[in-house]
Amino acid sequence: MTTDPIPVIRGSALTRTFGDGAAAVTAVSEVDIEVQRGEFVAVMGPSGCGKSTLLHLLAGLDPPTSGRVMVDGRDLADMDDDTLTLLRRRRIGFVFQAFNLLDVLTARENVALPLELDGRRPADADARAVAVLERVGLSDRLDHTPRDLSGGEQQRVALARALVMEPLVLMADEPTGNLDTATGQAITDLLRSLVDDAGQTVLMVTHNPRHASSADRILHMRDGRLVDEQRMESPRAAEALIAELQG
Amino acid sequence: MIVQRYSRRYMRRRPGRTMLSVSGIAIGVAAIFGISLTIGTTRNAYQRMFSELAGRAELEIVASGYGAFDGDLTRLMANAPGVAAAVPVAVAAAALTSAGGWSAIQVLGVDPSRDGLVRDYRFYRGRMFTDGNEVVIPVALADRTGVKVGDALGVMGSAGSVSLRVSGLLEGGGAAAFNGGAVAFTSLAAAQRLNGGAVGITSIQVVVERDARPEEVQRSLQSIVPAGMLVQTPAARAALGEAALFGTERGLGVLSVVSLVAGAFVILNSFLMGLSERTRSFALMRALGMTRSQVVRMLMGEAALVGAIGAVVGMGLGMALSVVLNAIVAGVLGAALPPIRLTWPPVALSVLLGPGVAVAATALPARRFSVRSPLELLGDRRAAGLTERPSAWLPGAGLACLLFPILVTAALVWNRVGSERLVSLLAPAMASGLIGAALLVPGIFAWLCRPLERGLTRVAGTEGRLAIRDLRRHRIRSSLTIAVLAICVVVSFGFGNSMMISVDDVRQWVDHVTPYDYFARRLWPDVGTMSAPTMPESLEGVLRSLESVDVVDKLCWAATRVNGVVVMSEIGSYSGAGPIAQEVAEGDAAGLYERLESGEVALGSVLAKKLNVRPGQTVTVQTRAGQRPMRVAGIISSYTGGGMTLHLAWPVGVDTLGVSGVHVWMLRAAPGRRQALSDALRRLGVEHGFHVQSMEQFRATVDGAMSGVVAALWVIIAFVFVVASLGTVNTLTMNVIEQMRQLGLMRAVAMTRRQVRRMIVSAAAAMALTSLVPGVAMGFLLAFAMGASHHAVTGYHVDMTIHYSLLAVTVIGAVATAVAAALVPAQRAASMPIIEAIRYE
Ligand SMILES: Nc1ncnc2c1ncn2[C@@H]1O[C@H](COP(=O)(O)OP(=O)(O)OP(=O)(O)O)[C@@H](O)[C@H]1O
Ligand SMILES: [Mg+2]
Repeated sequence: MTTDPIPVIRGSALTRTFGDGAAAVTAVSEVDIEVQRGEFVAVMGPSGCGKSTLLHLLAGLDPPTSGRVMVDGRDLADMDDDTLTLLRRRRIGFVFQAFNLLDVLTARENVALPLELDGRRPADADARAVAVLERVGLSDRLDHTPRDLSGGEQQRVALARALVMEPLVLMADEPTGNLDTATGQAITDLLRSLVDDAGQTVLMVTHNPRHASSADRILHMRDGRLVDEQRMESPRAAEALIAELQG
Repeated sequence: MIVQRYSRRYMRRRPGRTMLSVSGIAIGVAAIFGISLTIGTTRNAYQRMFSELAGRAELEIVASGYGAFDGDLTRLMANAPGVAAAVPVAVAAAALTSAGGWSAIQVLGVDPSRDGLVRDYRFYRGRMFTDGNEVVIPVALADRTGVKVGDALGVMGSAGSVSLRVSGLLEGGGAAAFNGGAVAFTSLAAAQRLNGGAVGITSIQVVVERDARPEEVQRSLQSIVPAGMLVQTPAARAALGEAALFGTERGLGVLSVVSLVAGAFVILNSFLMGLSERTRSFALMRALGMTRSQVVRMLMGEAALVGAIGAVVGMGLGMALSVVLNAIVAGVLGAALPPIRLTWPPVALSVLLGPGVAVAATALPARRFSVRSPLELLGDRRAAGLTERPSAWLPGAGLACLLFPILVTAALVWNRVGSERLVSLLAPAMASGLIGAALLVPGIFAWLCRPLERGLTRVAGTEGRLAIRDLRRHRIRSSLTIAVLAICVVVSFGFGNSMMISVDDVRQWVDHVTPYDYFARRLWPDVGTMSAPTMPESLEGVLRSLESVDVVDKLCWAATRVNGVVVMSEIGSYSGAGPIAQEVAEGDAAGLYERLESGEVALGSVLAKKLNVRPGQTVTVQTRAGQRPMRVAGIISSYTGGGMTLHLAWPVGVDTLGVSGVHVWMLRAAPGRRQALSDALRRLGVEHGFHVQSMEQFRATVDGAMSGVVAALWVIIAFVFVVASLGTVNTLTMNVIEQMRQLGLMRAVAMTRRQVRRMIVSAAAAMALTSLVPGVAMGFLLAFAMGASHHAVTGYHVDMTIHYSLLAVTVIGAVATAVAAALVPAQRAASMPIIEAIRYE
């Protein structure tokens, strides 16, 4: 490679402050971050350190107080709300920690929704939704509503919905946070296989070191700042990391 | 597709809320639809009646007072350029006499050899009449009266009773539908005979040549007819009936607008609840790529759907309402109105208004909602403050909206601007006023919070204070419910009060103007045509010769024109002071009848207002000898003909308008001889063909009609309160659901079920009490404005009395409705399992 490829996501000097005066809280402070195409990046850190806020900034869900976000080389600050919404719709797949699904819609409807919002024909949208649900292993749960699905199944539906538009990057904010370890691991494995098989770019926030170890790179946050970065070159390094973190 | 499915499933999941939204719109639409259908039916009834009668004729030639004229004119007309056919018609007002009683019928004398050029006669059975002893009637009428072909039909005309043989029965529709099917066709001569030998015809109906333009033919015919004759479209005759309905239409118009505004508030309230409940869902949809305009479109789609369903339901309700209203209007006017007929304009109006109002009421909050960022929505379950903090501009806008009705009312009182235009502003002004009052509600509520809290704490203890706190936390939601309750109060008190005033006024009028014991008449004239069979004037001698009689007066009505406007003329002879002096609104009451006898006229107050004429001025009256200037002696507040009346003394009327018969004899018994007079009159009635009605019976008829009005008023008020109670249930239920967890905690800590119930009922009472402030204030304004508009239209003053009993009923009704409505959510909150409530998300 002779030239650096354009990073899928690039945040430079990102700062987000909530409130003002004495009550002001700086949730994210002077963060520089880049995610390359096909990379699986995990963000870790203690509660309240600003992980969610950072993810929101990068996904265009929240504007930074200062600094800039580039997605695929385009500056989010230059976009009006509609452009930004289209960017979220087509280029970024987002999975929240919980309450990801619209409770009156079935699994396949939840997944097909972004396609329909984008103007695809309902039949095509449905076919595509079914295909993606199959990929996450839910072909037998297509017509269930969220209340009839387990937590892990719900998160897989959310993942399918985030993937259905074939986004440039998948962002997941503690997608395993509400799940037991085994189910959480299954979700993480699913993400890993997406990266390996389809070259999907993934940015994931997690508390769980084991889950984080599936990533190519782990960023550590503390008090709104990125304080450390680790590359998982080999499985052994991962094992070591887990041992270290679990102390 | 999925978006629509989402909306639909959400609505199904919240059936109560959806029902409330739908009923909000349904009520508004029902009022508008029902009322415009009633008005349209009654109004079109007259137009349609005359058009159907005219068949293919586009024009008709009439004497300008609709009296009889020489039939020779027909030949002249038939030969005029552009005329394909011209046929004579002689209409005779008559009564169908059967054992079961008398009913009004219009007998049409036509020329059987030529009438087919204008009208189609489709025979169900039998054939056309061949001479003046035969008659053809609609089959429906025959069924109703049990008459068959070949039977004799008893008909009482102005000239007395005749018997005609039925030669044929007509299928319904067309001319057979004239006068609600109460029609009979016979020869010109027979009709003239019924009319008392008045030779001549009452109209010439003209079919225009295929390639001629009716307007041009109308102009050219007008230039060749003799003076005093008029060429017009058949529907033009409807003017008289329409004038009579004007007052009723005005009141109903205001009511329908008020209902629509109430409906808008109901739907706004439930819409906002739907938003706040689904904030998280919308946050999610926004996060995964729903644009602002897609959000707005989705919300508007939901509103439009609710509006459309509401419109359909409302039209159903409106049909029922219009049947009731039609019966009431018919009762009040004493006219035979045709059954309600579905027409397109009200349907189109409802189809537009239902979704339109729903969308208009929700457009602003939907737009404001859509601009919230997804994260804002995610962070705030209550729509990021949208439904919580009233905007700062509300009080200002509220006061501005209130200015409109205040200005209109003030202008009506001083009456500087053309009054009819002002009166037509009344409905929009009241709508604006209601919106203004609603916008002020959050302010009023904030201002009342402290005293309410103190009062409720005294009555209900801590629960009262907690109730106020809950209402305050959801100020917009509470305010909207208060606004709906306030509109109920306005309808109940303001509208009710002005209606009661009118009812009292009519009752007073009956007591004042009729110092008689008995009426003798063949039939009361119908409002639309003012036609009824008359009795010969010669009967007066017979009546006067009765030894039990003290006073014999007579009345007769006929159409004519004053300054070109079609009016009803009331020609009467009054002995002594007579009733007419009692009704004088302007001018000298004492000498009025003498002045009328000397050839002056009096005008009904509505007509005087419309023509802008005062006593002492001169008007141009269409007489049988052409236009004639006549001096106005006074203005009279009259209920007949919607106040569009011309009053003449008997000899003057006979002289100028050529009336020849008496519609009603009005009689007073000699002291102590009432029974004797009654007996004598009944005997005479059999001999001379009239019915006797005692003053008590007459008053009972009027009272019956007025009771109908009052009953309808209560129905409407009850209806409106039902909606308000639904709104209250909704608001309180929403408060309960949102505070499940807190309520659970409170229950866990110490609160008994009864305390929970008391807290929720207190909240309802607080809303009802708050609603009384803007409600009663607006109610006064409405009552006052309606009173002033009454004056502006009719030209006479009605005392503005406050019916305190109605006020009391309203106050109690509002509080009771709210408290009753609170019982459902109160029970729900009290009976929930504590642990589940605490876990509730
Ligand atoms: N809308 C907001 N208003 C004010 N403060 C906020 C807001 N959102 C986040 N914060 C604050 O910013 C800081 C970072 O929050 P953030 O949600 O990003 O943390 P986190 O790392 O995701 O924590 P967790 O692991 O618990 O999810 C916290 O102190 C939080 O209180
Ligand atoms: Mg977080």
